Amino acid sequence: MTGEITPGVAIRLKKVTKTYGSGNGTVAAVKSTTLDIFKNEFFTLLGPSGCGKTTLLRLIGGFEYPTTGTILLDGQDIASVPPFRRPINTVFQNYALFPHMTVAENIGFGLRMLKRSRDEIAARVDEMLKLVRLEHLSGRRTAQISGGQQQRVALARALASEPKVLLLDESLSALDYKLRKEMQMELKSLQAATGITFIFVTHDQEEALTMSDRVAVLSSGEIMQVGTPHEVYNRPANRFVANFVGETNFLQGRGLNPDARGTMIDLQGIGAVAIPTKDTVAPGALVNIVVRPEHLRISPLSQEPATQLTGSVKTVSFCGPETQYTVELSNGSGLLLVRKYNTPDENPSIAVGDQVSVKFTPNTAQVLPG
Amino acid sequence: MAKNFPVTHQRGFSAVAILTFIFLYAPLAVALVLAFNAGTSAAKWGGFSLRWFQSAANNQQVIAASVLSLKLAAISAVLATAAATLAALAMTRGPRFRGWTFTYGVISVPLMVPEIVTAVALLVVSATLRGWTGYTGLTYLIVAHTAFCVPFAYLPIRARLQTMDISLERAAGDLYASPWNAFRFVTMPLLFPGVLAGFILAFVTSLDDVVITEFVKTAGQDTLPTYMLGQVRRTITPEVNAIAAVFFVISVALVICIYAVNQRTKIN
Repeated sequence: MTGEITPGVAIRLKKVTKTYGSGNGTVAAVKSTTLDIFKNEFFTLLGPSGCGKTTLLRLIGGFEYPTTGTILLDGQDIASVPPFRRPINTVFQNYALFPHMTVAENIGFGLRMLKRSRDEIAARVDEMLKLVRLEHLSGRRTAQISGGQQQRVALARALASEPKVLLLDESLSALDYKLRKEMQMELKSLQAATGITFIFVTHDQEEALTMSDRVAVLSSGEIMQVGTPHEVYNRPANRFVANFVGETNFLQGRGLNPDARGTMIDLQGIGAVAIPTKDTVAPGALVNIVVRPEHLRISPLSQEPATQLTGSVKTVSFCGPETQYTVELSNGSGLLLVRKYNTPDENPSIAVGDQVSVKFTPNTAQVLPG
Repeated sequence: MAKNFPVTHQRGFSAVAILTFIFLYAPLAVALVLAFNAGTSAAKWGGFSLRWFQSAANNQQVIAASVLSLKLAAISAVLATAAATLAALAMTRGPRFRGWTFTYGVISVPLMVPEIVTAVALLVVSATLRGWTGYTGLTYLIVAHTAFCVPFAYLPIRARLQTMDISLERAAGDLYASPWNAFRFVTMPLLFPGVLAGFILAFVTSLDDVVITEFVKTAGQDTLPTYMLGQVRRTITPEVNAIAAVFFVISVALVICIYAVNQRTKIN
C-alpha cells in the first residue's frame, strides 16, 4: 500500500491498462489511462459503446483487475482489493435488486453484511427510504414496484452504507424520457445532499452535460478530453469530442495570412472566408473549422457574396423550441446543419429550395488541426 | 414474412392428439379403478372395495419393500442433489477449465445411455466389490441410485442457475458480502426452487427404478417396484393395483409440488 494522499482526490488512476485475451488476440479495453476524480464530484465517463467506459467503472468497482497500473482510493492502492472490501458501491444497469427480499431488506443488505446492529440498520434503512421517498413501499417485493421505484431502491441500497464513491452504470437508460429527466435532477440533488463522489457512466451526451461537474470523453479505451461540460462542449479537444458531444459542423480549409477582417481561412471551393475565432492559425496549415449549428445564422441570400457561405436549403424541420435547417453549400463541399430558435409568432420565412447565406456568430467557431 | 406453420389447423391433428392422450391415460385410469376392485382379478371388475389397500398395508413384504424404497430414494436423492448442485455451480459460475465442454456433455450423457447398459455395468462393479469385500449391505444400491440420479437432479438446477441474473451475485459482492455470504444470502435462496425440483426429480426417479435395482440388489433387498415385478410374475391380484395407485398419488403430489414452488418463486 502506498501512502500517497492528495487532498481533494477521491480516485486516482495511474497508467491503468486492461487487456483481454492473450497473444495476437489481445484487446485493450482501457489503454494506459491516468485520471483524477475529485471528492464530492459528479464525474461522468462518456463515450460510445465499446469505448472502455464500463470497463473503467468495473476496474474502480473491483469487478475487474487492471492488467497494469494502479488505482488509488484516498491514496491507498486498491487495484487488487476484491469488491466486498472496497467502500465503493454500484448502481447496476439493470438495478440487480434481490428478488427474494423486500425493499427494506434490499436497502439494509450492505449494512447487514457489515455486521451493523439491528437497530442501526433499521434506522439507516428508514433514513434512506425517506431520502428516496419510498417509505410507503418498504415491505414490498422488488418485483411489485415500478422501474423508477426500482431505480430509487437501487440508489438507496448503494448509498445506505455511505460509500466513499458511488458508481452508476448506465443507470438511467432503462427509464422512459420523462422519468429519466426527473431522475437526472434527483441524482444531482442526491449527490449534493450526500457529498459522496458519484461516477456515472453513460453514452448519452445530453445526460452527461446536464448532470456532471466534470466529464471524461472516451474513445477506443483512451480518454479524449476531461473537462467541465462547458469546456467539453465549447472547446472540444479534437474532432472526436466535437463530433460525439452535441451536433456539429466541420469545414475543411487552409490557413491564410490574417488581415483586418481577422483570421482568414481558404475554405475548399469558396475561397478566403473570415472566421471569427480566438484561435490562431498558421498560414498554410490544414485545419478543420468546428462550428455548432446554433452558432450559425441563416438568412435569405444577400448582396455581399464575399466572405460568406451560400447554399440552398435541403430540409427544414420544426423541433419545438428550434427549427433545424440543412443547407447544401454551393461549393459542393457538403451539408451544413443550422439551428434557429423559434419565437411563437414567427412564421417560417425560409423554405426548402431557398438560396440562403450562412454567417458565423462572432467568436464561436473553433479551429482544430486538420 | 411467412406465418408460423399452423400445426393445430392440420387435418387429423385433433384426432391424433386425442388418441395419444387416450393411449397414455386410459390404462392408468383402468389400473387405478381396478385398485378398488372387490374381486380377486386384476382384470375383471367385481364391485367396489378397499380390501386390496388393506391387504397391501398388512403385507409385511410390501411394508419392508416400501420402507427400503423410501429410504433408498431419500438417501440417494440427497446425495445426488448435493453432487448435482456443486456440479451445476462449477459449470455455470466457476471459471472455464480444461475439459469444460467435455464435462458439460458427460454430465448429462447417462440420460441417453440405455438403462440396461448402466445396470449391467453397475452389476459388474458391485459384484466385483462384493467378491473382494464380502460386504452385501445397502451401500451398493445407494451408490448406484445416486449415480444415475445425478443427471436428473442436475438439469433443473443448472437451468435455474442459467436464468439467474449473475449481476445479483455481483451486487451482493459489491455490498460487502464475502463470496461465502453472497452464496448463502443470495445465490442459495434464489437457487433453492431449482434444488428442490432437482431433489424431487431424483427422488421420483430412484423410487421408480426397476432395471438397475433388479441387477444390483442382493437377496432380500426388494424395493417396491422390484417386489411388484416379482408379484406380477406369479398371479396378478388387485393388490398390485392398490400399491400402484398409492405410488401414483405420491408421484403426482410431488410433481404438483415442483410446479407450485416454481410458480411461487418465478425469478421474473
